[in-house]
Amino acid sequence: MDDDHQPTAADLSDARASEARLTAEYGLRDPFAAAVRGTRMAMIITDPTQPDNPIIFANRAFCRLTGYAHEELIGRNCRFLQGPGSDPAAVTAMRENIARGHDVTVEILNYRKDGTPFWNALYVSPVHDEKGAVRYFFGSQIDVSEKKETERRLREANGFLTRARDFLEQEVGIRTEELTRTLTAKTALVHELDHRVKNNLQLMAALVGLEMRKGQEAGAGSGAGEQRTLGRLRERLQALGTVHRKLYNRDEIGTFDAAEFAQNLARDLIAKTGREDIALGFDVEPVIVPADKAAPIALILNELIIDALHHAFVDGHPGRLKLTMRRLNGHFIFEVEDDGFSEREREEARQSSGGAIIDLLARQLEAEVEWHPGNPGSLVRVTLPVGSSVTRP
Amino acid sequence: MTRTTMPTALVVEDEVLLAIEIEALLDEAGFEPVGHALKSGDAIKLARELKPDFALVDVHLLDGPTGVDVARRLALELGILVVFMTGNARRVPTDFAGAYGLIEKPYTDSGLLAALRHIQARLSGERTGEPPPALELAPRYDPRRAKAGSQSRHAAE
Repeated sequence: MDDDHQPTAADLSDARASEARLTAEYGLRDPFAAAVRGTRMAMIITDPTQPDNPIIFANRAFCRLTGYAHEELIGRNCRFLQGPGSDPAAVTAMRENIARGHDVTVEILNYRKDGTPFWNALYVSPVHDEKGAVRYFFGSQIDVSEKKETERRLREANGFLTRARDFLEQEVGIRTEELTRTLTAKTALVHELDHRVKNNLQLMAALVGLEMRKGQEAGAGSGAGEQRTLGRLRERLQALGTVHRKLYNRDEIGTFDAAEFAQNLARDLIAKTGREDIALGFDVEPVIVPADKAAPIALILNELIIDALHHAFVDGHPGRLKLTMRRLNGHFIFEVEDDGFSEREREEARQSSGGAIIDLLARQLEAEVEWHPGNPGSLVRVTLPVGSSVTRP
Repeated sequence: MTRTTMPTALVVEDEVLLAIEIEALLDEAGFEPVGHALKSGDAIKLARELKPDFALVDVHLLDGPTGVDVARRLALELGILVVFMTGNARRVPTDFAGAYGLIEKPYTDSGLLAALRHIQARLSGERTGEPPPALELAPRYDPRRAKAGSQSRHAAE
């Protein structure tokens, strides 16, 4: 039944005869027949006992739905309503069900006489005679194009919404990940700061403690001596303050340029003395050290520079102070050179609390401190490993 | 260790200025400070050599956050009474890695001294009362938690 069966003249006459017989059986006065003819639902009756199961009855609604005239329909198989957009699988299923005498419910794309497509919700049901044999097929058709269009739009909208949701979920995922990362970083930073604050307060207390023990060893000092001690303490605490200002001021948090620190410190301290006869010379390159080494390095630099200023040019004679800082093979080399230190003054500086701080912190930094006395003047060199240092997390 | 000898103490601390101060306070509390290590390897080596009765251990050492591991080995392998001293208490595991307790930084002289005297008394076999506020004991040494467990008995009296 796949081939496009064209009804012969004989077939057509048979179909018309069947229709005449039906009309005779169910006369114009039959209310059920009248209902079928007049209903708004498209209906047909086909006769499977004739070749190719032709239409033998089509009501007015069917003619309106398909655009064909009554005479054009009688004697033809329904398949002429199908076209290029009709789903072959649906067609096959329909044909097989009809061949077995089963009901068929299918939504299929059909074409009107003028070629316009419409979605046909088709229901085909066999009509049996007294002996149970299939005598007719009854078919009803409803135009469900609008429903199909709505479904199509819904599917489209659904597809869009699904894509939108996937996109948003992905965005939310990315943002959540970013925020989690930021939060983790911030939390780590807060913990780090908390730890540093505690350590520094403890360190400050230790610096004061050191002076107190020195004071106890030396016995009660003079008022002027106490003032000087408090001044030195204050300078150390300020050096620690500067370290923190620098540590958390730059874009790259957690590193410290020891060279920059030493230059600024030397300039500040000389400005503070009000002396213009001390020539300050620099031979430095940036020396970036990890944050956990910043405080001890700054304290050592502080002591060395202050020592030079306090002891070397103490009697008001002019002089020069030279700072050299460079990195060499994973080591940080720092030199303070002056032309004013006498050997006695140098020894005093070494015995002071400042000298003790330098020795203790040098041990902590695994640094080597060399004192090279000149006459006059001296050179102090600090060599400390920074290249392979362990940075705190 | 006899009652006539002072208990010996090892300081494991990466901040040298603090270490010398702690050693002075240990001395004041009746300990004999015998050594100071700045990093984990030295701490374990010194502990083996000196066999101290007591060790104060910072969580952060020169070679990183290795203090917890040092405490565990000193306490569990060498049987040393270990107390953490750190500004990083959240790094100390809940089981205290076998340590007896924890002193938080920044400490005060009086707080640290009270804690050290409590530990000294314990090492000397004397009766120790409740630990001072500056000393937080590990769960299994905390008498307050033990007391909480026997509260029903007190209520019955």
